Amino acid sequence: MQAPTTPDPALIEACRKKDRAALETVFRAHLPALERFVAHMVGPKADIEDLVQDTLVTAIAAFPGYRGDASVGSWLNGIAVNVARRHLRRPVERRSVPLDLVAAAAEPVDPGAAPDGIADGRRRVERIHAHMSAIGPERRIAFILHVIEGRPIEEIAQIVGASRMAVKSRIFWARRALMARVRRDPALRELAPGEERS
Amino acid sequence: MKLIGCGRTRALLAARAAGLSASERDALHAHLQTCGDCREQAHLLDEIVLAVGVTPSLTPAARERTIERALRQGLEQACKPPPFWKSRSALAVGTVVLSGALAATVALVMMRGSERPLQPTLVEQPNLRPQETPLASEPRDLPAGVEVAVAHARVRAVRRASISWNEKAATVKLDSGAIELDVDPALQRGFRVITDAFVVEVLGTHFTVDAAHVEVSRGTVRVLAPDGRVLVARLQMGQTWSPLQAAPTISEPAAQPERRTHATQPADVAEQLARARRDLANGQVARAEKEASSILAGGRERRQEAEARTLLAECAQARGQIDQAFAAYAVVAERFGDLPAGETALFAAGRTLADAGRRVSATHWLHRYLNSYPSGRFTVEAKERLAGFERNQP
Repeated sequence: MQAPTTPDPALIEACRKKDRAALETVFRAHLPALERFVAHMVGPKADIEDLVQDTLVTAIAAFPGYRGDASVGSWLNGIAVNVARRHLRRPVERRSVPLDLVAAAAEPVDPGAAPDGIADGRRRVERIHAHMSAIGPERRIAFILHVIEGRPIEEIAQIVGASRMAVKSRIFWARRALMARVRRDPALRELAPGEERS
Repeated sequence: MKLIGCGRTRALLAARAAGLSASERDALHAHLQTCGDCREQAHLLDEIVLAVGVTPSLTPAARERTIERALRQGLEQACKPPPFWKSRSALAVGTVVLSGALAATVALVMMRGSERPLQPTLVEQPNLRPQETPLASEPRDLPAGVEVAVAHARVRAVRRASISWNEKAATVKLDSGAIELDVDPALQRGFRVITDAFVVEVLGTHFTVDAAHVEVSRGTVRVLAPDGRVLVARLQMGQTWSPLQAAPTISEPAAQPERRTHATQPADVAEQLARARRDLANGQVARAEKEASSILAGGRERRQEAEARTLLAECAQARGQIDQAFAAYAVVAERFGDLPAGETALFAAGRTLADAGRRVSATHWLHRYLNSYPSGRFTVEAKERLAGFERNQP
């Protein structure tokens, strides 16, 4: 979880005036957290570099409107959520490059294949990501922000512009759908032999 | 200790990363001791968090690239003049219109009072072109993506270009870089682009020029030598000409897109690209090709152009046309090296050759990829393929 930091007013003012050096300083400070945040939301096969770039370009245009109520990190994350939402709403085929990687992600895993070492671990991660990408963008974003990023419900509500109840509901349904998909997947059967009952 | 049910337990399991209070932790622990289903849920959720939570981070080089590109693009966009309705010209037009309306009202009142006939007043409207370009005789640098209006044409720098122009003569002189032009055919007035090696004459079309080639994406152009000799009488949509080659070549598939009656919006293009990808994924290669070609024929952003060209390369690959696929990837890599699509295309060019068993060429292109993107997204795979070549060397 990202700790809120007090932004330097002079630096922020320079960013509002689109001062290149100031923008670069702010971006460098927040880039590692931002790219992790984006990667969590869209998965490893998306073009993270491109999406982070889109976030920063949007931030440059939006800086004059930044009031300083939230930390710059949270504000950038809010922009990143919108960029990720747009990305996740695109058809699956368009989300990643190159095409053959998409095809590989969609390809059903041979249930008879022997689970073994690194290949097995990689396949398991790929399958979980494939199931995650089947969850609708709003639910997926809420789930990731809460369960993976560890952000409290209130903060997520603020970031995604929804009520607390709506966020809770999205997390509930995302978790339920994901569990059900994971349990049904023969390649992940060894993780959960039971049936979803919640 | 407070006892909790399965529903609450699962909500607490999901909230573990966000932090639980001591009493919540105790209650969760106690429930997990007794409930097998929830224990299994916890295990499953841990696996998911582990899988999704561990993400590859960008390399330092990729980070530098991302920041550099974002700053360049963001600051360029910031330097662009605002839309017309936000500009001072809009204020001026609004003031003129309001003044006119006020004057008309006052005149009407006065006319009623004096019973004299009202004289019509001509209100001069300013030129409403969205981007006013001053006459410039000195060469000016256009950063990539920046667009200016020259006479009845829109000139956009595909990559950084140095141009000078003459509005009255409807002429642009290209000193370096590459530009894309969209000439309004409605005025039935010619437009010329002069390079050191050739002159391109058009009458309403959309085309791209750099020092080494001309590519027409809509309409027809004529290419002349600097001394006025006709080099190519008609260079048509989908054709490319270079002073280094004797005859024009078709750079796009033969499928001719329908002529557009309105400018294509980026959102439409995004939909078209999505459709084309779907078609290709479903094995409808011809449809995907047609869609991608029509994107190239209309208005589109640079990134969309790169994607459409990549699609054409993939279509050629799907048809088994290795040479065409390779050439198309190479073009994307060459022209869009600053975009992620350019990087992907450079690697795809090498991979296509490698898959076709052309080991020598593939080695060259994979090395070229590694030299261009030492910490790129496909560096590991490129190295693996090269290592594979070495292992299997006869």
